[in-house]
Amino acid sequence: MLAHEIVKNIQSGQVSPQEVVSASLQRIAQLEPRLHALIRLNPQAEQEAALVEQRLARGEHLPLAGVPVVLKDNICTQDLATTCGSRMLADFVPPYSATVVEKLRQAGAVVVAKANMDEFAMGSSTEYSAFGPTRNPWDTERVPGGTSGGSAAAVAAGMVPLALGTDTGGSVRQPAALCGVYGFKPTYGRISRYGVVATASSLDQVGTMARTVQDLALLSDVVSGYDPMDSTSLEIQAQFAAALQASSRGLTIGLVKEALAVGNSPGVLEALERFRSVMEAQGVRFVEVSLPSLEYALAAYYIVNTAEISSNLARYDGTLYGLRVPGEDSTTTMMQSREHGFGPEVQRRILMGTFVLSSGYYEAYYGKALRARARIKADFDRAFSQADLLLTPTSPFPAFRLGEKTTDPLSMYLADIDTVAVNLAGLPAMSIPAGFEGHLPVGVQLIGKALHDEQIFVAANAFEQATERAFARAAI
Amino acid sequence: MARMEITPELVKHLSRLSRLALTPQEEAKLEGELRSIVGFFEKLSELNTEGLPEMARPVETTNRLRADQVRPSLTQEQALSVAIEVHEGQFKVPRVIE
Repeated sequence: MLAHEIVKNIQSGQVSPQEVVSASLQRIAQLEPRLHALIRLNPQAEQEAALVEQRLARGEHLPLAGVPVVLKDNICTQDLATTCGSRMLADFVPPYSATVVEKLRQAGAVVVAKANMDEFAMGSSTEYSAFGPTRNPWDTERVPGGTSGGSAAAVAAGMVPLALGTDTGGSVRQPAALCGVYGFKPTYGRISRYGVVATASSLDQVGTMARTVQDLALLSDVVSGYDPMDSTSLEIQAQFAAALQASSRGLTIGLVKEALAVGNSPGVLEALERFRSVMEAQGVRFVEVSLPSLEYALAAYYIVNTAEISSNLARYDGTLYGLRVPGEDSTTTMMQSREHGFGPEVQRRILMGTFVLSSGYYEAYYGKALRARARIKADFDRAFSQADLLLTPTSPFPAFRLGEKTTDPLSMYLADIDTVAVNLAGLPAMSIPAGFEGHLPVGVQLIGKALHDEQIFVAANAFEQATERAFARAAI
Repeated sequence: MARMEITPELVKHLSRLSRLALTPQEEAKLEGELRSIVGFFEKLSELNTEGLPEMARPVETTNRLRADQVRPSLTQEQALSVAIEVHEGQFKVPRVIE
């Protein structure tokens, strides 16, 4: 069932929150052995559903009454382990919940589980989880994408209608595309990061996932907004559901020349073409735009990303919390704890980040990347003087096979080619299910102007209405 | 762009700076991987960035001050619940000064 149907049926008394949550848990029990989308179930889920029922009986207004959700396991949940997919935090039980979790609970949602992820949100396939990979519900020999692969797989497989992920360089949008669901990364600052474990702070945003635009809007409205606990959060009222009333007629969408030029697989090109023709029939105008610096985005991104990672992850040193592997002195203890606590990709990025920030090379790498970032932002600004939204693929290819890219780190990085520029510039973007390549779903990406997140929903809704959700149906 | 030769000594140096106790096999593997990734980073040298600012964050932010008022916060017990070792109500950490 979709989230808005659950809310309607619960509010009209046709079904109880406990029944909905128990159906979700049954679906999870049935599919989890094949998918491994989750790291941990919430043992309190059924009791929490009963509390929702009591709140409804008291007449509380709950926009997500009884809706089961999963959270990526880097979003802190009080009294429920939050591992970041890492041995370093395998036993870490946060003493507080992230603001987004408080907002979900306030709205009546029930967290049923924590979702699998690439360790500390580094990867593009969920294969770098210390707890084993997640499999794609459309083809269990293939990856779900990453790093929010568990969240995407859980939504695609119908375990839950809604999930939260985080998106540092495409980690909500790319798995959404590979799993055939919607994935939305808002403008930097529209969703609080308080209680969300930091990967790369100037790039990280919480993102939403759902099987329809309406559900995506419902969830995005609940979790967005200013938070006094996150000084980078913005004081802007979310209007996602309201945006679904607006018409797409008169919008101009820019086709990003450089993103269409590089090697996209046939199903991806077909989906882009379909999106264009469907939207033209909806009164949307298409123009070609250019982002000349786009081809430099991946290199700039991986410099900024690893630099921020090397400093953010310095806190995991076996001293205060997390894993400690005792050694003969404090330095050895730190080095052993980090060696045992972190997997290969995390270690690789910490070393890379230490390198680009190191004395004598800072200017050549980190400084250069930050100036490239300014150039990329300026290119986006110019493109947005010609168009309201920009269209690119979300990923150049559909879901790849497990093990296909783990032997060559650089080939994994290239999977992020269409998504990272958006994070460098802090823009909002959504992956929209728009076709199939064989049996595998394909997504297209709409990028919006900063703070014009709602406009993406207007266009996505128009496409979904016109195609009758043909590309976002349950998989397994 | 200044070029950096990735050598076994550099990998050892970075692993010390990063506080990672790498095995010799890991060092050898990382040397090759870093070389290929840094080679990829060199692409940026083609891009003219003269006169552009260093953009460290995506949006302009200003300091946000709040009133200095007592507010609810974690209890000492909650804060210590994540500690590896606790001693008399405080985090106990490995000795750093001999």
